[in-house]
Amino acid sequence: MKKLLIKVLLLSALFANAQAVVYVYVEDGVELHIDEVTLYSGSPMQELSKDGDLSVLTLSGYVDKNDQSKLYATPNFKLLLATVKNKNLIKVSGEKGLLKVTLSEDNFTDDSEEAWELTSERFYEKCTQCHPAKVVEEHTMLEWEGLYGSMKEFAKPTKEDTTYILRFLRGFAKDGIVKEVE
Amino acid sequence: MSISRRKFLQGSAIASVAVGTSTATATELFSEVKRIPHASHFGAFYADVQDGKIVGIVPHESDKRPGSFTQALVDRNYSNSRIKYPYVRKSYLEGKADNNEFRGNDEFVRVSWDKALELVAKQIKATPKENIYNGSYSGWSHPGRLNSCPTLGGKFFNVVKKGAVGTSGEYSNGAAGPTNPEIMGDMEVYSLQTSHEEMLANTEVYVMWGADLFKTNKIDYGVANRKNDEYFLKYKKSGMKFISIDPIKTETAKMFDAECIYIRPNTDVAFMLGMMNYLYTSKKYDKDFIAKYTDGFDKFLPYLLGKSDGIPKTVEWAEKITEVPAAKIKELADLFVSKRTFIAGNWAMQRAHHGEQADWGIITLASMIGQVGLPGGGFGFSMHYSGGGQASAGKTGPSGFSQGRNKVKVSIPASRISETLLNPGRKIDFKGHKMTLPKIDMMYIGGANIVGHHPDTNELLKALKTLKTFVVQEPWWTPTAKMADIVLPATTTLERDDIGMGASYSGDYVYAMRKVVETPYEAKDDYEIYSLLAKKFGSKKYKKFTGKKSKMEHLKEFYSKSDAAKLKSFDEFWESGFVKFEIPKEAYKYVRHSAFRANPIKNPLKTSSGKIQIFSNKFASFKYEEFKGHVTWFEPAEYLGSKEVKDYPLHMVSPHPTYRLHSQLDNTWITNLYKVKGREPVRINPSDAKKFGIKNGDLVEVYNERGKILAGAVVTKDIRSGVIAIEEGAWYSPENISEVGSRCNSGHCNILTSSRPTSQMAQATTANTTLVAIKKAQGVIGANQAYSMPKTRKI
Repeated sequence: MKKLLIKVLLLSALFANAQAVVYVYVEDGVELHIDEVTLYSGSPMQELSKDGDLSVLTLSGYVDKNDQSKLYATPNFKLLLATVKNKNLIKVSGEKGLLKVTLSEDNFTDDSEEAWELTSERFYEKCTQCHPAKVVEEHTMLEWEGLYGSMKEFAKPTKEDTTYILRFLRGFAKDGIVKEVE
Repeated sequence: MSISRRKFLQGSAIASVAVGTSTATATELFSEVKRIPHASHFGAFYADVQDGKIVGIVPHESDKRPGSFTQALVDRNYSNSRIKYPYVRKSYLEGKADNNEFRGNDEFVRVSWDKALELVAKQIKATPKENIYNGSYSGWSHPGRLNSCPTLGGKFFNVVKKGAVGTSGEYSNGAAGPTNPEIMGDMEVYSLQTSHEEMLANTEVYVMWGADLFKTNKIDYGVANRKNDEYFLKYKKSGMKFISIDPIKTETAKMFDAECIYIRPNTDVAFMLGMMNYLYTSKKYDKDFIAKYTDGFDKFLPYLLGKSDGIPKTVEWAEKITEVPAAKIKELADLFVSKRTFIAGNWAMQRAHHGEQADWGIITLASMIGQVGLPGGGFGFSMHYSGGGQASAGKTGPSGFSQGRNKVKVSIPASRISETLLNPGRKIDFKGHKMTLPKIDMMYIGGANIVGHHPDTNELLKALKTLKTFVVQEPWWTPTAKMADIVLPATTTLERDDIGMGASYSGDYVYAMRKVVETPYEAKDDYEIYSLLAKKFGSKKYKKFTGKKSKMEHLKEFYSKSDAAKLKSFDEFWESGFVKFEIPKEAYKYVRHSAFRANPIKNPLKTSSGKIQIFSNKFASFKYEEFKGHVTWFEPAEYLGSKEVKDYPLHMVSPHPTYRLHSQLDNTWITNLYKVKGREPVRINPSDAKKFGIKNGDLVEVYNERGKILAGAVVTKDIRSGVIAIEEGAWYSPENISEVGSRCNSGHCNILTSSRPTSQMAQATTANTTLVAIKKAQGVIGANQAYSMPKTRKI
């Protein structure tokens, strides 16, 4: 049975404890717009409390000191977890940042595979028409950006394709946050 | 589309392309001639069909220099080498315990489709996915999206077995492919090139470093348009100076009246280092470019100057290795930094021992010249490929099948197939980590000719005998099909509907590849074969594989996802045969790396520093003997400077063929244009011919420790002394099929090439690192059987 796991090392870096991790779920696209916050599909969160249909959740990640309106999953600032219009929404402490959001249960899932399904499908659909897929976790995010650039002249992806595919590649890269296990 | 007989005669007279396949009959005068659009790697065309036979080929408007290639497709369709029925090798069918020993030397028994598919399915079911090698490699058999064998093969195994062992990397760019992204943040070998318009307007010196632009641009990974030939006429009149660094005086060098530097094969990196050393010590290199756009020059410098290894890479040092005079090396370096200079690299140079260094050397040299990102300057590794230099329409073409997810994470490096089959469980270095070669019991190849493209054929033949089952899906009895246990006859591209796009870089046409004729045999479309096989795994798998859609429904879906669908309905497209995209004006102004040059902070390369990595910490950390953190000269295992020349005094290069696409079209009349006494030509310098007692037109034996082949001598000054050239792709044909290492009667060069890898890094092919000897062939020589059917019989 296929499972997607958020990498253990990363979890300990992002969260104080690794319990009750859920993932941003976007039904169509990779961005979920909630008031002043944009969340990105597959981003891991911890559920703090639940009140009926609504849950309070936190996202923990890295913040670029030059732009504190973005929260990233990794210290290379390549995989976005969230962006905010009001940068005060992200509580910054050193290189880390914490964002608290309230979401309805339609907007998140405890099934990581479901959370990454759209981007994953787009990658396999678009990038395996001429050659088999490379093993994604063999390359870093930076390497994937280069490889994707090399291939796009042939694949002619749309802007939407690029958004989906790079989200997937960064997430599953060697230095990404998701790992596929049997 | 149908046309009148009168119109057909007019059309064929204008195009002079009528291909008669039968004598005229009375009914021919009255039967309709249908004009059907199709497209191929050799170009797009209309086939004129009368009474179910192709009677003419008329080039499509996109083919700017129609030639013999597309004409030969007709001959190939009706070739005696067609596989007409499903076959199973006799001793395999009988289940003899040692049947694999007879592989390649056995009768084939005609069986029903159901029997053949049942046998294949049974073996797939019985073999763990980790022990099945899906060897349907690359996509060169035809440009169609529906019947693409590598895609279908991947999809099939992912659906029915959740995967199989695949191929890592490629033969074409096996060394540069994994190296260049670390240096340039891009593979570079397939990337959009600076437009011809910018080249023509700005380039003063055009260096063809092994690149044979005219020859290799005849074909295309998509549908060829040969539009580059129109540009080549402009280049010739442009006044720019052409320099060819190549042991061969190529057709392109002749066309452009290029100054030819007849370098020793495999010594190009020493040549580059000599120039770099000179530019540095004479202070003529571009210091500002190095400082602003590159990273690690300071770590490369001790090696360049000989401070780290005691060998300064001077022009005198380079002369000894390359046999290019030191004064000429200096002269060229001076020229390159004083004029707007473009270096067109090639791919053959990295298909050699330590091939990882080739592109890195050009990139480092170009950085010191300092013109990367300027119009008409810098370097490019794809000007010779698929219409490189043509402006891009930037449109999305028809989609294709997704292969889906492969659960088997092990892939065999492309040139390591024989090593894998012969040494399962062996650990090898590969791209900075260790990999274990898998145990392969079953191999399935569709639409690819591994016996053609894999180095050291005799080693491969031995390796193939270790398999328990070998399945080949093919339209023709290729040398690979003759080695199979189960042979599944596929239709040719002319016998089925498909959809394609071209050219690879311009991307300005979508083509309807409509079925031209019915297959006269029991052949089935590749898509249908995989579908029927999937059915053997149950209705769920069948539905998943086919998506519950017909072939035409798939084609319509592929088309609907392209930008072409915004211009024509599918029905209009299918009837007219194509959709043409306009190329935006700004596309003609494209200059590769110009954004990086304009602002390297805003537009960094996808490298660790954002700049060109003259030194790579990542590569240095691998601590490999034959691959360091900067470009390095390593002496090849075989070259004209090595001691082996005592026994094997000639360096054999095996360039891309002039009249084929790899091994495609070797079974057609087109071979009459160039073969010598029915064998592949070997070009040899007059001084060498005299030394070895060979005359033009002689049949000769070319040999080394790995094998021997017959070839036809072409004595010509167009090749450097000490070097011979045999183009790759001739179909292998052993003189005695029961003898191991039998002489090839056809001139298949890979009998002589080595399977030695480039290095621990890329583990890529080194076909161009080959020493050989030559002698006039003696005695009675039988006919070349390369294109004959093997012995077959009915049950």
